[in-house]
Amino acid sequence: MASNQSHRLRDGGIVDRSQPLDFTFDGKSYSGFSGDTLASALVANGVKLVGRSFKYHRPRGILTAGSEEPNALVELRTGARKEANTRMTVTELYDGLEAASQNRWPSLKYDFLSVNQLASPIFVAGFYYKTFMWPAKFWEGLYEPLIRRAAGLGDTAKQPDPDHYEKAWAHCDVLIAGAGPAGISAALAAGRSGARVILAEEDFAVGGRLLADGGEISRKPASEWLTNAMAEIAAMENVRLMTRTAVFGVYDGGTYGLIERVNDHLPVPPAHQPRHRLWRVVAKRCIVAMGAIERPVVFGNNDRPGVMMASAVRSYIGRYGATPGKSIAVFTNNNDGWKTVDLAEAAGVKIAAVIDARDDLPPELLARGKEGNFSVLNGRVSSADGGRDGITKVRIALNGGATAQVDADCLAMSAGWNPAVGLTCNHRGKPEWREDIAAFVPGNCPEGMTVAGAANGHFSLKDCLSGGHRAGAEAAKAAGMSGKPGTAAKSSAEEYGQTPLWHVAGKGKSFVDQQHDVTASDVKLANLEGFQSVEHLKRYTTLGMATDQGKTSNISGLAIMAEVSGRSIPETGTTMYRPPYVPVSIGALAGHHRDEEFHAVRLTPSHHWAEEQGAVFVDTGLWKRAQWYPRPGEKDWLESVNREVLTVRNGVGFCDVTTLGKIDVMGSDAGTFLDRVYINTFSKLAVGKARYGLMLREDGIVMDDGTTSRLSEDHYFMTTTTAKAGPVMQHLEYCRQVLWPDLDVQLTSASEQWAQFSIAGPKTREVLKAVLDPSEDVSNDAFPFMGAREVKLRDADITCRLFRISFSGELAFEISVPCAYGDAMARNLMKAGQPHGIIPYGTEALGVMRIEKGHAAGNELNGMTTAGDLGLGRMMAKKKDYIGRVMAQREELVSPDRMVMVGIKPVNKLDKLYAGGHVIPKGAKPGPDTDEGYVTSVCFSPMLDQYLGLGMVARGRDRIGEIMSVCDPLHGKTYDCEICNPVFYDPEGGRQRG
Amino acid sequence: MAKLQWNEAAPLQAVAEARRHGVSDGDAGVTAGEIRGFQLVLLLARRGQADAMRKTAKTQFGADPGNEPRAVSGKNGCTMIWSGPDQFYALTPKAKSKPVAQLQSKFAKSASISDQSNGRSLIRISGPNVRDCLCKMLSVDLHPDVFSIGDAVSTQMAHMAVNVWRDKDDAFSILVFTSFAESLWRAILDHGAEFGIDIETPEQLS
Repeated sequence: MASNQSHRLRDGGIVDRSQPLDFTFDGKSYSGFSGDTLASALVANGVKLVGRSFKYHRPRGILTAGSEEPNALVELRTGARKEANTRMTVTELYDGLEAASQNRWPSLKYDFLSVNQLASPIFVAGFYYKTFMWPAKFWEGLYEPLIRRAAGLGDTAKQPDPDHYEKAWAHCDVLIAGAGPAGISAALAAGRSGARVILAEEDFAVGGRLLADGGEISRKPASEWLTNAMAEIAAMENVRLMTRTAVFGVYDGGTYGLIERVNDHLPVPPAHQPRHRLWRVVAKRCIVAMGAIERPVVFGNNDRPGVMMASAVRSYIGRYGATPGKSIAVFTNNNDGWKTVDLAEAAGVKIAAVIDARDDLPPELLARGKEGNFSVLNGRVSSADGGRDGITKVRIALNGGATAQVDADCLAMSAGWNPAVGLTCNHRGKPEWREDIAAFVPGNCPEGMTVAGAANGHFSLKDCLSGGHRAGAEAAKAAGMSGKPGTAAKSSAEEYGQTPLWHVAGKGKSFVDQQHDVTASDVKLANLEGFQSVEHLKRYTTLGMATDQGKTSNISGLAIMAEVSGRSIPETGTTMYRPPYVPVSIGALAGHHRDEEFHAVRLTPSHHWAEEQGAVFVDTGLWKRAQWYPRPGEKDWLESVNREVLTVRNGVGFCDVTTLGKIDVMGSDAGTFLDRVYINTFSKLAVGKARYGLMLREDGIVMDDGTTSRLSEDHYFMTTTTAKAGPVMQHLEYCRQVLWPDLDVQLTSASEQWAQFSIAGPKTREVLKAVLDPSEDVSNDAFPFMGAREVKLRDADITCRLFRISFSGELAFEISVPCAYGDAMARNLMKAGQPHGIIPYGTEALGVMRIEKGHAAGNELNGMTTAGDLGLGRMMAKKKDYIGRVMAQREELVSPDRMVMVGIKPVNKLDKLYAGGHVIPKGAKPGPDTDEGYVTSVCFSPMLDQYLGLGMVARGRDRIGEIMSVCDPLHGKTYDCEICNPVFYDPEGGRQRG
Repeated sequence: MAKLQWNEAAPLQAVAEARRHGVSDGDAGVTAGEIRGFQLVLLLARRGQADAMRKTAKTQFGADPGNEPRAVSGKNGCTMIWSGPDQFYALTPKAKSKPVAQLQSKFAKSASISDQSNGRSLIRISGPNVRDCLCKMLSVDLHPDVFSIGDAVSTQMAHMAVNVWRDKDDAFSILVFTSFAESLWRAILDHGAEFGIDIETPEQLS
């Protein structure tokens, strides 16, 4: 199939002509070779038009051959794997690749919205701000949807991504970003010195510019040096080469972000392999050897297909054996551009002309035209003529004032090179201007970073090799290595000889940023309108945004701004460089943590048993808890929950409460410690007793509650709420380590050691007797309310802890068994409780019963309430100090007007109460002025056969019996409610003490 | 009533059955399995009693646990794993362990003891690709020059708190909270799949 590769050269390059690969672009079939990128394969097939531009829908071709590409973006793949805005210049070709151009309708050749060009006077800088201002209400309904349809590049996949992504860590002494001549030299030197080295290269092939430009190293072809160097690197166990891996950011403490495109070069990743892997590399030193980016010249119609960077032309010819044109004109302001002439001629490609802008053009270059049979013109390209299928002619303003024109189907342009300083500025370092090369070079780099080669403004191969070697040796030494780095490879010196050239006035739009369609006149307009700061220029014109982050446009843009605002380029400055330096997929940033693995999940000991029972689970923080246990025939959750509540209140049920935080508080000062943490006293609690405790934050607001038992003289067992288990542990550790290091207290979480079940209901004792050793007496006398002690299980030598505490308001115990027996405990409770009609109940029934009993929980312990608000003010000890005591006495916190916890009951028993409703005086107009409280928790109470709620109401305790209104705008309802005692059920508490 | 059955369920009871996971051809790059049948107690030195605790540890467990991040072998198969300043875990085969109450009385003046035998799952992971697998979950440098045999660390894996130590060149032990065990297990399987994982039959600690 190679025969149809009209622009493929017979030989040369590092593509494998024995391995043809078929692919399609916009549905048309083509073929390329192994080693091609999608861009090089299209170049080989003579395809020039590859996309339409962002705003004006202008025809665009391929500008570069690398990561900096602004134009040649495609939708790669189809279906769920479709990826928009993929740079074809870094897309490795594979057999069966499918790509489609973007931003065109109905087709790339005949794009309807190219009429936008006619309206171009309104698409100027800041056009969104100027155009879509009025009327404001049109924005959401009209303007935004319209703009979204018209603008934007590419279309995203509509299905979930079927591939997986992962994140990984790596550690090394020296991280080297870029495996061109400088990076490879650095890796050799550092590796020989004994350092652990990671050499990361974004490309799939190593060698950087050597792959295209060749050259001589140590008097031999550069390719030979490259082969030998890579063989030496491969043999060094301490050097790890990572290709397809770009360093994209510098983070704190010597941590670097790398994105490895593990399987982008295949249609589908092999089984169990990720598509991308995000690396966090911790390195003692880092060497940036990422080379430089060639800069375009801004002239008329400089965006026409066929206008290409000179270095890209060399890459396509030299590396891929494909020529972007049959007759190439070269436009340069430096000697490096002339390399294109040598390379093209060597490959048998015709040079149409060389246009060199330098007034002091060296005579030997002038003479080259005669040898090569092409004209050398001293001047500047002012515009390129031609249509969507490529340029046909370039117009030239000669330095003397005359004009000329040259027929060519490709223009290779070079305005010099910009060192890739991006990473060096990630810690807010500012690059420095170097007048001799008219470019910014790295300034104050992040700690531990050095720069070598072209990235440091040293463009010659000689300097890249020696600079890389020096940087590698120094970095290894700084990382503590003492091995010998060997010597640097040598190459002959080159003269760069550039004269700055940014912009040539001429006919046609002159693009600065081709990705965002920002022109030279936009920059000038921004200046006129006062947006002179580069940061303002960027936001106002969108210069330098999107996938390429202005790699080919930023410096030209600010150079033009400098010119029109009468400042120097360094005075104008650069915008902030932030990570990522190259696009990073969101999938890679998420890694393993998506879908069900979005976060770690905690399972209770009875989880698998509950699954067998058909339980419905609810996420409670990281925990999965059984929410209710539906039975056949129950029509909805409410029916299940009502049954569970009624069974517990009339018989017996059990609930897995393992999720409560459990903390061992130990040591001879444990009692004192708890006295200072809780508002009530624990040091005098008798061994074998439990007590409800409440702790405050330093500011006097309630932090958490729970029961704490004294297991022995110097061992307390604290429980916390599920939600606050972590924060309470953190708080206690802070108190122990920072506030009172003098106390003899040891803390550790025991949450995971114990499976804890609440057994509740009037028949609890019968069930307990059946699961406990017959010697255990759980009668009211032997085991009174708030008792706590170790007990033995029936038929086993397992020691457990039993606590007589109740959240439901029923006769209840909580039993702790070692976690391994949690599953068995659930099964045995069912077995032993069967004669008594035992059922498992979930968190919903638990919630209903606690609301019926008026127990405050998370909705009331909401970070705004005091102990007094919750009706627990009397627990605050008078004779001791504790955290929060003083601040809790602040005037506002003890005001009689505060909202306090009350019960709320709809007057009409059929009204359904929702949490979040606002409490206002009966009949008042809802509003901030009449707002006197809010509903915090609601449930349907099967005991009272109506909805009930808890809420916070101003002066609530004095208003028991008052009829107020609850306004619920969310559900569009207002209804009358009675303010009542929050303890709706068994207010005397006889049941739990029975 | 019939006798009650009190079957123990290990943290990974439901999932850690012997099988091959991930890439199925060739030798597995990673081997992983749950270790059961151990006593795990956390010893926290009483105020000012760290030295006394270490001294008692020497007699009770057969070695000085030290006070740096190491896993130290003692007698009766005991391993003492550092878990913070002046605190360590003592991991002992259940069959050779002393009752917690007995340990509490031996360490009465020097340390508080919390029984965590049921609070952690112990996972052993090894194989030629073990580091390639672990580096996707652990931020710690596992290079043998940096993290050698017997080195221990208290850190997190896939956002879950763990204690990790190196048993051999390519073998590591991981202690994770019981409730998180299945989540961590899935993370290990997912991250090791590309190397092929041999899941071993759960073994008793010996």
